[in-house]
Amino acid sequence: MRDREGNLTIKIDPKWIDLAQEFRNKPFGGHTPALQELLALMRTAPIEGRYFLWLSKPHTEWTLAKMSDTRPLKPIQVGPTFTSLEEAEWHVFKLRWEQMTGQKLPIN
Amino acid sequence: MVSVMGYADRRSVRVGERIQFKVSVDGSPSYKATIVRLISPQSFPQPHAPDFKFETMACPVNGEHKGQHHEIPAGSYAEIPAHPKLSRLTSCTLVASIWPTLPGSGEQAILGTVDGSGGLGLHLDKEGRLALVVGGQHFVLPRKLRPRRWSFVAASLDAEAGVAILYAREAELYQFDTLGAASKRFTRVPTPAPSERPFRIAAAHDGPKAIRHFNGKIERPRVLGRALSLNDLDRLAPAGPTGPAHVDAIADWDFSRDISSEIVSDVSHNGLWGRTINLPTRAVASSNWNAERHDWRAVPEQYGAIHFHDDDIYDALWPTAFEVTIPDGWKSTTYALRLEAGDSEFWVPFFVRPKQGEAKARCAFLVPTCTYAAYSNFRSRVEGRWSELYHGRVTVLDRTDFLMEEYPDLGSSTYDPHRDGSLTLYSSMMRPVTNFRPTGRVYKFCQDMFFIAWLEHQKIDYEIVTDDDLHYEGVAAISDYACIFTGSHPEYYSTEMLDAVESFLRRGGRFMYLGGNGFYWRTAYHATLPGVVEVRRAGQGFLASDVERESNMSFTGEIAGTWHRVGRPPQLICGVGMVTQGFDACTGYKRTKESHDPRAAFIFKDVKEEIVGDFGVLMGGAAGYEIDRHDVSLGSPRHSLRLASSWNHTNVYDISVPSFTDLVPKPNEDAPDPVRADIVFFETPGGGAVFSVGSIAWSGSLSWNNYDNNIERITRNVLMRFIDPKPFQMPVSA
Repeated sequence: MRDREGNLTIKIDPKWIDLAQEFRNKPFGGHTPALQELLALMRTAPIEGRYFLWLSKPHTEWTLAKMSDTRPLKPIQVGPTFTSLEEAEWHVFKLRWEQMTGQKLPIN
Repeated sequence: MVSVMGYADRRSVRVGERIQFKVSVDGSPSYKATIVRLISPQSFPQPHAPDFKFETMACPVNGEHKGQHHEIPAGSYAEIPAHPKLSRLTSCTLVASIWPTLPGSGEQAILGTVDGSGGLGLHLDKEGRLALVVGGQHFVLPRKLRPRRWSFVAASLDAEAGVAILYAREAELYQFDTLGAASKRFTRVPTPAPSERPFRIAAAHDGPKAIRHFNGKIERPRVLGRALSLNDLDRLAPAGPTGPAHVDAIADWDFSRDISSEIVSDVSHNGLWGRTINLPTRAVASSNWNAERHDWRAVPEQYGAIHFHDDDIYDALWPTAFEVTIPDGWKSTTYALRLEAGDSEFWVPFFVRPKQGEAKARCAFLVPTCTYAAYSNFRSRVEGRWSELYHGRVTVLDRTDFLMEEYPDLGSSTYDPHRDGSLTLYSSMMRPVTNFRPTGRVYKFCQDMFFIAWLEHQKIDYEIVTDDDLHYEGVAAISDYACIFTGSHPEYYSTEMLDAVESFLRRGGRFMYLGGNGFYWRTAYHATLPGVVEVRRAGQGFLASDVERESNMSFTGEIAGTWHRVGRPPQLICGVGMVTQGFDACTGYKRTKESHDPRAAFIFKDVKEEIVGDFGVLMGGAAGYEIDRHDVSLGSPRHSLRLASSWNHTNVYDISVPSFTDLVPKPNEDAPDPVRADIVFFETPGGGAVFSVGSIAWSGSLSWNNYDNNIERITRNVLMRFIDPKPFQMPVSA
């Protein structure tokens, strides 16, 4: 759960590696309810400072970017650049995992 | 950084007619303009998707143009033309009731003629306190007005004595914690100098520009021709907004009149009428709303407020850069003005129809311009907190998407809140629109270009009609054609449009609904202003909090909300209706036994597969994004055939179910999953027929395998039969 300010009200357990592995195997498509809940938390953080993908070449190249911390929002390209949306999605998952658990994911 | 943007005065233009283009370029002295014919969208560079294709038209406007930057004059207000009775005010009282939404966020004008150090006005100062502004001085009542509370406010000025009284009193209706009257008397107040400026409500002047926009509601603003005493004000404050003109009125504007228009009516004997600018929201509850009615037509006196916003925008009012008269010989299809400057690019699509009476094709693509308008400048996709959740993937954005952040005055769509948190109800195409282009997210217009790509590839003879044409011309807009087919997402429908489609079907027309979440929200067009639609989200409070008591359209008075709420569900016209949405993955359809009914034989001619559409350039399938299902209990005709159903949608689709439906879980293994898209066919009594696919993603499968696939075959089979004049027969069982 998140509170009205967008802060997590539950603790994400860094031991939930099975959920990360499930996402790694299949970033798009049906997920187990537990993974879906985790993704819902990852995908509803306040928009300020949130990761998104900057379309650096039409539908072929995406650069990791962050929204500015204040409005009006500005795109801040932080990289790296991806040629696969699945890889980009996994990269963002890993960053958010680390933000939420304080630990790096032990899988690549 | 260079930015070029533009818009046109219309979306639909016939051969021989004129279309005007407005262009602004920021950071460059010039820009390049090219009129192109659009053939296919910029989509995914995979072998199954069409390449981005457009061709330059021979047109005298093509080439480099000198340009300049134009601002977008966002912010609504009302303006009364300059008149001696208002421009030479001396002793007087300015009166209104206000419901401020952003008090304390900068100075805001309630009414008056303030321009720099000139004029006279009643304002909220930057702290949210009532202020009389005269001679460049502010005389301030110390109390801060509270947000979203009705207050009667007044400034009384005795010019001869140099005395003013400021007065505020909160309205008591339904509130236990109202603040009583507060007032303050000032001396040595200067006499206002004559002002030749128009009188404004909800904005002040900066030369011809409007500034200090008011955010919130204003009702019954008045200018009274003498300085009221404190006793007078105590008597007037609780009187409410109804009643005849004040006996001392120089002007007395009653917003409960002419609600559907831009007109601001003066009920005094002076006839000082004005008009609203940039479409502030009308038909909103006023301070005396008594919880008996939701229909402003029944109790207009309880809807006598106008809600002004500093980010309202109807028309950017840029000068015409150039115009194009569509020459004979231009095919009826999709075109665009392509603008380029530096590394900036902007597209202004438009649609060419044949001359009146010269339609030649048997079928027409009904381009969903009403839906494009409702979604124009869909700010929540960039700024919204929930977009990524519903889409089930990290948001992808480009430079054009961020123009809304660089230029906040571009305004919002009907999905977005105003700066003060109230929902945007009016959305206009008379401004640059960042999500109406053949590039970027493959959705709406960009995705609809898949249909054009298919028609062109298969050399199918077609012409174009837009929603705007259907609304304004009714069934006459489509009666030359045997078959009409929709775009991928014809979600927004006016009564006139829906009536026209139904009338077309009753006289034997054939209708292909090739999308999802169609015919969903009742939408209103303005009676006199082109290019703008109204949507009110009655029945779906998840988008806004005050939708129910303001649930009738201001433009038309009609009941607002979904067509289902109104009592005319989409299942009635097309056999299917919205279930839910999810944008992470798409699926195919499994054919049902009914797909083998002889009535459907023409649809599945040369289709051997029992599973169709399990492929596509949009997330891997023809069924997905937003999906509709067949439901006789909601109006699908009893004789309609459910030919195929999708299954196994991801749990991202489950997230939105409560927002749209109250589906029960799948009751047993053999029952079809309620979260599904259905393909449906039925005949109509006049020899017509309807074919619906219930999925936005359908068009993304047409090009698969170089247009050799079962979705393409089904679509073409239906189209070919639907343009055949041989009447359809209603089944005996119907």
